[in-house]
Amino acid sequence: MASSSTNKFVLKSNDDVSFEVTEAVAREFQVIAHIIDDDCAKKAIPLSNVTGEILSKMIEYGKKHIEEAPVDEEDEEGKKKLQIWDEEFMKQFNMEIVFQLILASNYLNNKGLLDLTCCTVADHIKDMTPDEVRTLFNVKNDYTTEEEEEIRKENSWAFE
Amino acid sequence: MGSRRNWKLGSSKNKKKTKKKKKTKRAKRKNQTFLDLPSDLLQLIISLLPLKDNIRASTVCKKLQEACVSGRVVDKTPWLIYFSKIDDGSYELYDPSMQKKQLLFFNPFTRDRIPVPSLGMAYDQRMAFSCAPTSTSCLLFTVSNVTLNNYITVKTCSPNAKEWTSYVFRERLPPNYNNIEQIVFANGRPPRHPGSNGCFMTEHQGKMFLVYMYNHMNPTVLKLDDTSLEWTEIKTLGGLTIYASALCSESRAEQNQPSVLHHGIKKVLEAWIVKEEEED
Repeated sequence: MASSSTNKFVLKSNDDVSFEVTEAVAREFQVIAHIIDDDCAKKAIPLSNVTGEILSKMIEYGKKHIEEAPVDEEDEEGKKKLQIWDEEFMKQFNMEIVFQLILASNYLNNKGLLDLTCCTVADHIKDMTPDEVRTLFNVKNDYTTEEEEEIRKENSWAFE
Repeated sequence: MGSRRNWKLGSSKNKKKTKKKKKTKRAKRKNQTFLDLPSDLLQLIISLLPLKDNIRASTVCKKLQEACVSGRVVDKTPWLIYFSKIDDGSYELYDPSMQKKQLLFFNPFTRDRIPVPSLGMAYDQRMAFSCAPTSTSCLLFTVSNVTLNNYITVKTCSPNAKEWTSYVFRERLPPNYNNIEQIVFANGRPPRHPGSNGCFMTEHQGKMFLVYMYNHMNPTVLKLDDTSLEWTEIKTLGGLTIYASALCSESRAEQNQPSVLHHGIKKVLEAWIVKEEEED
């Protein structure tokens, strides 16, 4: 336990920004935990798919979740506090950053952050009209009028 | 060791293969949309949408529709609902993936639920409750065929209680206990009739009847007096026909039938009495 708080590791983003983190924070990311376990983390760990901007945010998330981790399963207050922090944390990002965070948290395998980022997108889509979703996703409508009508007819209750 | 090698191989391989593409990829990055996410990640997002939003999102474009439709088949096993054999308004909900039943009072119209403490339910568990579960005086009662050393274990609780109260009785179950389908709540024990080998209870237009069966004579019928709450023997049924069996008793007013007591069915429901409580 003592070693995990004193051991430091260096994570290097694909645009050559280095971050020194404690072992506990590094282990928040499954892929890095494996690298540490395999004793291959003596030098800086290169992360070829993550930019410095994204990595710094992910480390901020990891740190918070280590420091403020709920005491146990029963610690409802601790869980609530962390949940509020998560919501605030996501508010600062535009959809472009959220998109990058999803890819990076999937790549580094942090389930908590992946769920959080996906939830943020889903919450965004909720109650949006298809047109608004098209703008958000930056996609064109590739249905013919008949095809779109067909889908609407199938489940007309969802469009009331 | 393996995971690290895979990881490094993966990243260096990517570098070689995508070197040429990388420039165009970088340039494109601004135009990347959520539809460019790997399909499993896109589906993860879609799976978090309620059904209504899922359907609406499926009209956005064809690729999203694909993800939406496959996202509708969620990995949740449907629950089974059992309707009680007794028409008492209770239901059992069974989640096959959890391999356990959850016992609760459920009103399908108002969707109100009244929780009942969990109970390891046996296959042949019989249950009854004394009055509307919304009442504070409601009592749930259960007895099961599978009992330790053939002792009778009765469990009771009230809705919203934390746990069941168990009573073990040093009494053997009657041999034809298997036939018991219904538990009836009664204030006080129905009178015993010596020589009778069974007793049925039935109801007609709010009046309660007890039918005592005998091996070699016609049955006797008792009627509950509404005001004195006493059972009095009646000699004729006044045009009433009573069908009685271990599974179910019914009464019908059929005037054409002779109103003589007939002894039709031999199979009986034994009333049994517990004598002594062993432990709490």
